[in-house]
Amino acid sequence: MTESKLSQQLAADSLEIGTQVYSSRLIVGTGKYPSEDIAEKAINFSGAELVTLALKRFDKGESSENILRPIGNKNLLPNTAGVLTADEAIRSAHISKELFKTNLLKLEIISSAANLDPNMEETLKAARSLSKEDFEIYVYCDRDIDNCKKLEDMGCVAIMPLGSSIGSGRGFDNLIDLEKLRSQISQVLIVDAGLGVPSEASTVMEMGYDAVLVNSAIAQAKDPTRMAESFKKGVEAGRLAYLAGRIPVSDKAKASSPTSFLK
Amino acid sequence: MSKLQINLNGEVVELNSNNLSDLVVHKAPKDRPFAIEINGIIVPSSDFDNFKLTNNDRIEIITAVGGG
Repeated sequence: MTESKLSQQLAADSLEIGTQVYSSRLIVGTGKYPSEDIAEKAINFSGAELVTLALKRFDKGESSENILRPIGNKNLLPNTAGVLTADEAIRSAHISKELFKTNLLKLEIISSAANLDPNMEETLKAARSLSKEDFEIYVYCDRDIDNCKKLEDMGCVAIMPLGSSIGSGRGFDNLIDLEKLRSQISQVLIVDAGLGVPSEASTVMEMGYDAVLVNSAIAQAKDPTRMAESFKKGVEAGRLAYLAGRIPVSDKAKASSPTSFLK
Repeated sequence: MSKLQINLNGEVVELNSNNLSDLVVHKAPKDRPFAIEINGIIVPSSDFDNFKLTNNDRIEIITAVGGG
């Protein structure tokens, strides 16, 4: 297959999440970039069509940086970052809908400001409530199968277990759990949080994950633009490998050349 | 009219006008979208012109910031 045919195959392999269709399987965050210009370049090089962003009080005295400028015309996925309870998340969701004129929502309820892992009790409560409205919920969650199934049953359009702690760059705390989840969850599955390098994105894409969400690993890299492009390629490589189908893992050697000489 | 005292983004502020639209002109961003919540209720932008503020209103002006 020629390179252009491979590109065509990837382009045709669209990702449907709720009412949206994407050709890119990399979602990027917009926090922690050194500057708006670097954010703009990195977001463009990532090829992402969906980007996350957050809410804050407007402070007239603060810098005039406007995160919406580097995002351009990408689809917005506002998050509920910083909230600790279902009530706060629901409030954040309604503000986001008014502010960004979108019903896409990344539901994210952390355990505490120091422990950014998801608070699942509050997450389930918020998802139950918000799913009765017209939100398309992308939910940040733990790797527990029962929790993920509940979120799937509530109609969340994307289930997003963490790879490891937010911003840690540690990759995976438990790859086996992520693999088990893929076999049990039929809804869109996205690894969110903790990825550090593109090979980790490839690994979960090879397992059949639908997409990955990356922020810190790109924004805080020495060269965010290059890292954005590397994640783009890592995600594409992993997806292609998944579609190609890996060979069965064997504990025995299996020769790919003749096993005896000139016979 | 006498001055109005409100809480804007967590700080006490005195206003000369009770028109929300005046507050928007002076305190809201001009170069980016924003939302306004008053006493925990979102006020749609279409209501800004007619909305009257009262003493001790808790007002949040919210905009976007980078996030993951």
